Amino acid sequence: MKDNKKARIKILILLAGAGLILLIGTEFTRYRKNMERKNYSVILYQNTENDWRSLLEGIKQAAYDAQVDVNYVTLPQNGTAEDAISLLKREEENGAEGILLAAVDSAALEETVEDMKTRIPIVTVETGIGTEDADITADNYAMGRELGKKIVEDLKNQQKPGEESQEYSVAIICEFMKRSSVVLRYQGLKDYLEAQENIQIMEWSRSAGDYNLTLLIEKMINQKGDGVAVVALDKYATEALIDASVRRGQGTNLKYGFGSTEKIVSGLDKGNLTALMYQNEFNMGYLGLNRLMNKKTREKEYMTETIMYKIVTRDTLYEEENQRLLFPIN
Amino acid sequence: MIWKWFENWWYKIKNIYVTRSLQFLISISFTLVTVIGMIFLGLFSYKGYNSSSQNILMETNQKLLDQVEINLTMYLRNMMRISDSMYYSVIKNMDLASENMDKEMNLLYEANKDNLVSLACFKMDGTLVGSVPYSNLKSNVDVTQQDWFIQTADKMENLHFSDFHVQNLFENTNGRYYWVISLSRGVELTYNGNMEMGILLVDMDFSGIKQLFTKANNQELGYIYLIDSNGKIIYHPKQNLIFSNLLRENNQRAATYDDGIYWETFGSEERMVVVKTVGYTGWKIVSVTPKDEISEKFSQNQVMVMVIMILAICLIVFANQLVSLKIVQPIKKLEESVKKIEKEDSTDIYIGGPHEIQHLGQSIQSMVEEMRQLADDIVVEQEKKRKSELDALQSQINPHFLYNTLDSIMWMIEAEQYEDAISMVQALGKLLRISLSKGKNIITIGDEMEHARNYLDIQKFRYKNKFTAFFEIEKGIEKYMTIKLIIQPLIENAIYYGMEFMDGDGEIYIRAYSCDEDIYLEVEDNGLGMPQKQVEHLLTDNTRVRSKGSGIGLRNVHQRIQLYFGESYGLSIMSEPDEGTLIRIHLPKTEEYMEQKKEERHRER
Repeated sequence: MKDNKKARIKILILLAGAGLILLIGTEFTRYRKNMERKNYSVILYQNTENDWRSLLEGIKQAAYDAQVDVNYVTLPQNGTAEDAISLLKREEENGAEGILLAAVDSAALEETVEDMKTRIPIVTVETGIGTEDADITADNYAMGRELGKKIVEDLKNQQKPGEESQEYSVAIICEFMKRSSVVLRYQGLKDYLEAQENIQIMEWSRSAGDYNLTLLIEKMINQKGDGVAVVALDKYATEALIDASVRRGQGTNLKYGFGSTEKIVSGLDKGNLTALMYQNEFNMGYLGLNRLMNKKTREKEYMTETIMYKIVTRDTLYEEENQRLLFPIN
Repeated sequence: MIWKWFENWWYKIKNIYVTRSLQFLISISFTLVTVIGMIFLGLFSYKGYNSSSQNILMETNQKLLDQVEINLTMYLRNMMRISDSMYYSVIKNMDLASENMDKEMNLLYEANKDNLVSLACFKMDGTLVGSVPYSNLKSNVDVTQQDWFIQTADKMENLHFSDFHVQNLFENTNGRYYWVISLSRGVELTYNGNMEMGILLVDMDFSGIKQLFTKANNQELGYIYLIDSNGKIIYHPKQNLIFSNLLRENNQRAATYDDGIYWETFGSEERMVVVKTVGYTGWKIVSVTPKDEISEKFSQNQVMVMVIMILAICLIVFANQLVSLKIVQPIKKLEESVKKIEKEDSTDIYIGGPHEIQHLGQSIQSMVEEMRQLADDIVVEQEKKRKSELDALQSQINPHFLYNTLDSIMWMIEAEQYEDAISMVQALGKLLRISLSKGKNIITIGDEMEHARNYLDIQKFRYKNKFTAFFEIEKGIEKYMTIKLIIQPLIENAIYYGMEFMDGDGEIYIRAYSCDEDIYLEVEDNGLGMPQKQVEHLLTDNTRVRSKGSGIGLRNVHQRIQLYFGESYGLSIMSEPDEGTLIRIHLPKTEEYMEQKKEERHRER
């Protein structure tokens, strides 16, 4: 009888213990699930103060939705491929689950990134590795062509009725050509313009002694006169074009650029740009981090996910869609 | 097939169930009933809890929406108050041909600049009458083409709230752009006493509304968004995703809902939608709580409920074990005491526990006692019966002997041996007197010896002095008691089986002596004797048919002694073929008084 009682007490203690373990286990698992958040890294080149405003918002939204942590690292304004490689290695060593990269130098980073891809997932945004487009980007070549089309239209519209067709000059600011995105835009633009009649293409780039891009542009416009249409293929170059325009005062040059920074949008609004080509950077950031979270090492490459792009002029800047994509809601 | 399987299964379960101990049955039955009850109760409670939690959630959402609506209405009313103040306190009292509204406008702006982006007044041709804090209109902007202007011009008497949009009116040097909601109204402007229509514009900073909704969205479940009367999203916590076409919202459907609670399926998601309309604007505040989120919240409780139920069941099993043990313990004790009775000669029945068990114990005990008494009575009855039978057997001998004796007497009389006949008749008379002994079965050894002598006297006449009898009686032994007529059958045996073939040289010795507390009576003859094998059967073999020489007389004497005095007393026979036979009667040394008492008791029973 006594033995039975002891056995019963043992069973009760055992069952109560099992229940307690189950309870603690459930709570602990939930606690760990909350605590063990994955950590991703974002490495971006930077040329201007708020280069990546919309892209970062997209990444933040994706990180919030997926409950992951993101470590943001931006290169200095004149950051090099070496700087980018050392950051990539540092983030890998720090245990990042994956890296979202906007390459500062597509060719120079290719080897390092291809090597790292066997160990951790890497997704490129805006600018890819090698000569290809990034994993998540707008179609840079098409954007170049599209902008070329707009330039030609605007040039033709400038022609007075009955006037004989004249030769137009289009100056392309060939800066930051180490980035595949800029190269592809350039190729698209150049291919389109070359296919047109009466278009003379000029390529402006800094040579030894030309430290300041704004000054170079100003100098070149002053040299070539108001008849030349100037095209910048990158945010920094576009901002420099706006600055040059402001410095010169309102001229009649047609001025085109890429990007959606506050300065660029404001430049368009104030008439310092004729038209602007922008891509939906919010989508780029959101989809980029989502792809990174789903990607595994050595996985078969995804197709490039193309992002919407659009040309906006001063007249269409306040259209509903453009408002939503170009003006951040504070 | 399934039914048969079920039947087999049920039979097996039933079999297991009925063959287990009472404690197990009580424990398992209690547990089953309790667990089933708990499961039902748990399910109903859980369902009730879910339902009430859902109701609470609905109420909470509605209250939250009411609160947001109050805050938003206050915000809008504040803007309307600014507009009213500007119009009724400033514009209406001012002749703009000679006065400027900038100072008053600036005061109002400064007082409310946290929620305001700008204040402006326009003529109907779009000319700026006054504005703060910016004063220069953009060169490329045609105010009259802006939505808020067109709407107001269309209905001058109303207050109009526009869609939220980026303000596109003034040159700003800081490069900042503001998302605003424009509150516009038609106003009467006075120029040199002449009235002219104009439009007053209050641009509210959208960040005020955003903050209000961000706070409201800090809830655990679901989210809240704001739409205008056409279903256009004004605020949504994931506005950027929606504008980038990465997320869809059911805002167009929500615009058709009246205030209340709705369950809708959007995409593959079922969700609870609560709608509240904001006054003045027709905007709708929409709260969305996906059912999955509700279920997830409840599933956390589900795990807790499960764990608590498992623990409760464990406790119940344990408690049932204790209760069943408590219930069964008296029954077990009773069963053990009954088992003890079966094994041992005990009447100690457990009487304890609840009233019913006590009663059962008492009944069993009285039953056992009665059974014992009955068994004893049966034994006594059997003994009595056997004694009667033996006594009857004893009395059966007498008529045969009597017939022979009387026959002998008759032949003596015919042969005119009157003296012998008289002696024989006298001996027979004494014999009969002692054998009757007033109905007593116990007589003194003296009387028994007297009876033996009389019998021998009669037999001597009959057997023509073929043998000689010798009495060797210990002095003083005559007073001790014996059962009557136990020597005579032994002498009869000695005569019939020992002396029949003797020609006057037969000898029969009758002895009586004591040894410690025992008395021994012996009858020894020098007759033919018997082999040992025959001797062994004389007192034990009941199967033998009665015949001359069967030893029935001896066995009768032996059984009677044992019945009266116990197993340790009785006859012992020693015989050698051609040597003779000695039969010894072993009796206890009992005096007359004690034996009389014993016999009286025996009779009473």
